[in-house]
Amino acid sequence: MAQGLAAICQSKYLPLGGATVLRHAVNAFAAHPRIAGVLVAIRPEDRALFDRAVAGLSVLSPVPGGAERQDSVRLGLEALAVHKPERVLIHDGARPFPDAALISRVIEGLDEAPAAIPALPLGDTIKRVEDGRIRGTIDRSQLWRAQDPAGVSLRCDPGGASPDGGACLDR
Amino acid sequence: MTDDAAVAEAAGIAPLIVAGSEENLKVTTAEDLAAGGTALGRGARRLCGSVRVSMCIPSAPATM
Repeated sequence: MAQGLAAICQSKYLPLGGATVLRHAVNAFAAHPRIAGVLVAIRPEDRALFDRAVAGLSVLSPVPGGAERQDSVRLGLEALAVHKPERVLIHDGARPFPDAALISRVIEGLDEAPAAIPALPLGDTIKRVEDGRIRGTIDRSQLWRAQDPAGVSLRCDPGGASPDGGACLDR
Repeated sequence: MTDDAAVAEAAGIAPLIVAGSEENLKVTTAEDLAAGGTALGRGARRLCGSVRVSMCIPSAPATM
């Protein structure tokens, strides 16, 4: 997996379409040609649920998650380190429909930046309200809804053009 | 921190924005799954092919 990608999902076991939300999410990555492996951070007590949810899918052994989301992400990244992935996509297992094109866009975004994240512009008008009355309208042009997967590039080249390692996330 | 971008922001990185998808919604409750005709429903329809969405998405709250 040295040149490849890996995705981390976190666990939700709500049923959806005869499977679980998590299975749909995992499968989206497992079926993607540019994803080399999928690692899921789970609560250890959910192991049986997890095994059932991803039965038949190609996934790495799950790792125990942490108390907070970022703890699980860190634990997942540490578990992936042995595979030396150059890029990692971090996904929320509660989002079952990251389509292949979306995943590709995040991967391609990492050609341009050390981190990339899908987002949509905010569609609704946003008002600032005080005491039940509208006091102003917020400029939406700078407001976006962040989604997943978040892509991060882990490539560091101390001898390369960026001696300080640039904005690598594996430190 | 509630999202992964916030982690990158805290590390002094400005993540690049790529186009998201209306289908790429977060499901947090069984009620979300029962919402037919939504972007989530379209995702389910795409995923389940010819299966009707009403069959694809459980209409009753799940207990798992």
